[in-house]
Amino acid sequence: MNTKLFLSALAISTIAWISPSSAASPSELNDLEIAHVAYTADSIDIRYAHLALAISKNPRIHEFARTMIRDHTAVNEEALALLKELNVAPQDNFLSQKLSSDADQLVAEMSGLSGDAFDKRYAENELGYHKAVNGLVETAFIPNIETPQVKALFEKALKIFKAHEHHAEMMVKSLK
Amino acid sequence: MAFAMSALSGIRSAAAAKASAAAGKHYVVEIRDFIFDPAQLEIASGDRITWINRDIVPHTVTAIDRSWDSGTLERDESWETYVKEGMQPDYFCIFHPMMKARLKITSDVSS
Repeated sequence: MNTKLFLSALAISTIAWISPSSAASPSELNDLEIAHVAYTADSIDIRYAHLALAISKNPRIHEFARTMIRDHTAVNEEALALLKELNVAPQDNFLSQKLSSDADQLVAEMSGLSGDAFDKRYAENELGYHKAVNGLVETAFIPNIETPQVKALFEKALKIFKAHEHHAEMMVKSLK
Repeated sequence: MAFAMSALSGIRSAAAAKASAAAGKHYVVEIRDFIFDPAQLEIASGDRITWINRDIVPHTVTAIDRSWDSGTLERDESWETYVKEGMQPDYFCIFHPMMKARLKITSDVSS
């Protein structure tokens, strides 16, 4: 093999390994960045749920919010356990940051609402949020995840989040 | 003395086995991927049902009129009940109300 070519390839692959990813689209994220996005998305929904418990007076909204806290906490615990087993850490990235800043804006908006207006906004956001995240997981993440255990976890998580989407749909209809 | 004790435990075991057989069959319902499997179970009074949660997230097994309820089942936790004539046959998961299932109860233990 050409030694110069081999050394160039080795240098490039080493730089790629130690440099932060320059991914600009969700499908370009690596496994550790995808794990970070999933953890962030779970944590955001837990945050929305706590807001709902604090503001809403509707028992159905409370039941849904408690389910979101239970389920997303369980998924996050599973993800953290897997990362510990694999001896890796999730990597921050543009998509996690975008999700977080969007969530900050939405929390500010929903904090100013009350009564039926809050319930409607919360339920509609839960439906939209789960639809968007499920689409991302199904089309951009799962096909591109390389680590088998991470892929298996995401496939399990997608089933959970699709059940949430269905539940949110039922909740939106019940509020009309 | 030891012979008498082992004979007695043998009689107790036989009695327990006879009682168990008279009590009916044992069925297992798995909760997996947000589904009760099987979703419809044909059972008789005196049968025993065990539900096992195989999902990451917690579920419940709750009669629609709340007359019987497993409470929270974490992953791999199970709960069982004996089938009684007249018990509410329709049940669901309180946390995920779209998860529904049904027991088809006959009163004849031998059928």
